[in-house]
Amino acid sequence: MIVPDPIVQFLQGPVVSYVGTRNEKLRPHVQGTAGSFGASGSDTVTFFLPEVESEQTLDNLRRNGQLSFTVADGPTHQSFQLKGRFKAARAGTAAEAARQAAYIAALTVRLRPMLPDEAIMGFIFTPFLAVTFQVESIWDQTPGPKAGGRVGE
Amino acid sequence: MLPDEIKPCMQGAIPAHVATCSIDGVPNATTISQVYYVDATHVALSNQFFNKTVRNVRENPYIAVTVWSPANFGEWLLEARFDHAETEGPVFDAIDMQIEAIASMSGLTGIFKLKAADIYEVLSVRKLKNRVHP
Amino acid sequence: MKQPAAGPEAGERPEATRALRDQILDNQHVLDELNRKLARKTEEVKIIQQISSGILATLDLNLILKQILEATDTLLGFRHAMILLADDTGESLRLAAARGYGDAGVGAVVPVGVGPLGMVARKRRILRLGNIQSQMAYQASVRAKMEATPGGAGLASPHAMPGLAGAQSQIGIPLVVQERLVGVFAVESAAPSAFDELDEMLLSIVANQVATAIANARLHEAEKERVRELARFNAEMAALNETLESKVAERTAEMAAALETVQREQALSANLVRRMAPVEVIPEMLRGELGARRLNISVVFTDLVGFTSYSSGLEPDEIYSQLNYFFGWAGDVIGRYRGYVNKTVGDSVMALFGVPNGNSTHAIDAVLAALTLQMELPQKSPLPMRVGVNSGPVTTGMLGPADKSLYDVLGDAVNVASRMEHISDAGAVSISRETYNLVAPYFEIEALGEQEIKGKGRMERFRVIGIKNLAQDERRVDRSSVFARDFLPLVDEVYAFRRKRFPMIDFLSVQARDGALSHNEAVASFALAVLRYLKGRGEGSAEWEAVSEESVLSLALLHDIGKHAMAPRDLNLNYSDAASRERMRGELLAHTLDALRRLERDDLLAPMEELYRFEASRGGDGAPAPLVEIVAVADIYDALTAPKLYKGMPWRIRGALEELLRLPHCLQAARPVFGAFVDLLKPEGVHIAPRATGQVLFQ
Repeated sequence: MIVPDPIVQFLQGPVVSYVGTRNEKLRPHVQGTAGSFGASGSDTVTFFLPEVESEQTLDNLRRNGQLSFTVADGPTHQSFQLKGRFKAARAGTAAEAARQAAYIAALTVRLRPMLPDEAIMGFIFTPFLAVTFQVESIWDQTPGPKAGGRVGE
Repeated sequence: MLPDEIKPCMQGAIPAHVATCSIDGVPNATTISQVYYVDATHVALSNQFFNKTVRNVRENPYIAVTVWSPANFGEWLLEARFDHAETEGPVFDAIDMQIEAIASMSGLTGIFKLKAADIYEVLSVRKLKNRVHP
Repeated sequence: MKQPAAGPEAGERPEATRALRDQILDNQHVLDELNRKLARKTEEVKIIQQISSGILATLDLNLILKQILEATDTLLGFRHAMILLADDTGESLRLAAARGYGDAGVGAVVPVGVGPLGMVARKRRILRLGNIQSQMAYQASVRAKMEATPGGAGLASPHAMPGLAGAQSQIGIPLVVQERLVGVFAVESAAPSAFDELDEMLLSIVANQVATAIANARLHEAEKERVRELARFNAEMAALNETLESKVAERTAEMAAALETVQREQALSANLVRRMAPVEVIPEMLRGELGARRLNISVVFTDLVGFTSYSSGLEPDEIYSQLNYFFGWAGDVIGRYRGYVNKTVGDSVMALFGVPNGNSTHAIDAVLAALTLQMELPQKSPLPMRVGVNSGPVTTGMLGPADKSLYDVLGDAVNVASRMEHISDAGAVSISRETYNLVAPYFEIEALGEQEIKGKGRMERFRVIGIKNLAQDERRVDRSSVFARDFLPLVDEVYAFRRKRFPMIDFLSVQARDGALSHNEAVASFALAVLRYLKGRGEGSAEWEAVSEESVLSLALLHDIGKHAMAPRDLNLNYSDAASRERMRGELLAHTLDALRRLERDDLLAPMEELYRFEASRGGDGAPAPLVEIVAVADIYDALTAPKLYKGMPWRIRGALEELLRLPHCLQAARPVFGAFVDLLKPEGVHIAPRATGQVLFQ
């Protein structure tokens, strides 16, 4: 499905994000990601997957391609979950590395009321893979009366 | 199985991420405010709303959870399997009391009512090596 | 963690030894960790002991709270701490002491059940939180979302809590003493996940000490207040008692020298102990545990008129011999009515009824004893006697210097009794208004109006003539009834029969045990009247001819004589459940049968059992023997109409008769005996129908 513009804006912002996958025995797995982007009118989203500790995630994606990508804003708890199919993974470009660095800086500021800088800065974000997936459904995860509701096209 | 070091991660200081998978293979990943330490081989998740996580776990009991330490921000990955749900008893009471303590301050008594404490058996736990200073 | 030593040595070691070293070092690491934990624990246990002894050394509550929080900070390192105390209703907590918060909110109120501390109070268990602010932020955004949706208003308003603004971590510990929540003890920190289980354990230990100290401090306060109150009360009593005391002291001084020898000899015998206090409390007294008590009792004073001039012509040993003979008899009579001779002063006796544990019959017992004393006096002394009785609240206890303390009473009621005796006529029993109020239904009493009493103003005085005669007793006998018009003279026959056949039985003292004065004589009178009535009317005359008057009178007079062997307490209870009542009746029957055997009246054993069975079965066992039926109907009627201690109002005659007809024993007036009884006792011109409902109605 085409990702609505507001959601594209949202997932390009200083949001916490992570990807859920599963293996052949339907055992789930989760891993934190660092940065993402989409495009207006597009039905794909790309996120940056740090290579350290990424073996399980990549193995799951290659074998069955099922994934769920969640983005959440710390202070407001606004959150969306995008479900879809893995398309491709490749090494990040220099431009993407710059985008990621900017994202990390912005995220640090955004989360400052809740976490000190070293909480975020200590993670090993590079090298990373740019992982693209095709969006099949989007869900509102914001806690409250609309939680769990589907976001329309 | 759960070392003492992980206990501070289970006071809800930093929200955790939990992934489940439906019986037809679709993963689901959400944020939860707290994973509760029950004993060295069990943790609990509070079940307040019947959401996708709960639905999945009833079909396919396995979960993957990441928690962070508020002391050193290290990341821990747990794999666990749903064991049973409790609607009374010491674990339920303890979680219920915590939830009610905050809810009553926010004027939200009854809104966040604890339906059950879902008890999971921990299958594996490890600290991830994804930080510069472990 | 110790690093293995680098260098040539390490590299030259063989594999096996290297592995061993690594193992040892690994274990060392674990041991170090454990030692650190143990050291921390030991140190902190020491600190807690320090805190505890500091706390328990003082009983001032505010000081205690301050000290605790100071110690919690300086010794254990919890910089922000507070103590809240529960109010009396148990519905809210008040911030009583705080440390590390500057001037913030002492006095602030937390409702039980609201917020972490309110929940600790409600659930009475420890709560440790590490993420308060994050949780609140999360819930606040949910709340905002809910308020924004239609129909989302109507949420309860949030509460502001005392404590650190922005506290993330908190431990709250309930303070409980003997199942009561006295408050909550809490520490806080701005850092998340700041506290662990060890902190919980340490603070729990301190909290226990805190709770105990608070409870002790409160007890101490309550005790101090009680002592102050008691001192005030005793001062009042002492002031009031002054006059009596001086009079007693005067008389005692006169007789002291003469009585000393007598007392010294008696001190050697076991009797001494029995004189110090009523027998029921002697064990407590010997243990030193007999404390002061407040009781409602009756007090009797007697005084022989003209004793001093009478005895002035006698030799000392004759005076003593006569007086002791008099006291011996008087003490007997008083004891028969369960009184206690408190003291004798000169020729006076002071007796207490209702000591040491209180009872419901004290006023009746006192008046009966007084009447008996006056009645039997002519055979015991050539002099007349004044008797005064009063009832009221007193305090009892051991009074006097340590080696001479005796059971005594203090109170204005004692003075009034003494005054009653002073103003009494010789040969009379004078009672106060208070005693009158308690005994009026049982005795024939003359009101003598008010009199001026020295030091007391005007007081009412009554004179007791005697026990109410059946003919005068409007509660039992209606003046216009056939019984009152035609059968009253047989009451004298009944009393004559009783004196002749059962002179060995003191009916009065047995009846006094549950206040059923002249009950047996009344039952006998009614039963005899019904028998003569039935014989006179000639109805069913064959079966009635077979019944002898002697057996009716004997069965009636002795029907509950077993009371003499039962504890008055058991007799006077208002039994609410049938089982206990049955048990009591069973005991009574057993003792009554026993008495019959000892009186060699085995002929009455079977009828007696049948009587009890008939009354208990409510007529369900079939027709009883005529003898039994007559006594039963009289007994039931008198039980309904006579004043009783443990029942409320007695039935009015008409209501009692209607009830009689309604009872299952009566089979709706199908029983001629019940019908005959009603005919005899009912007021003239009144038609008595069986009551339609079971409800008790007082007309």
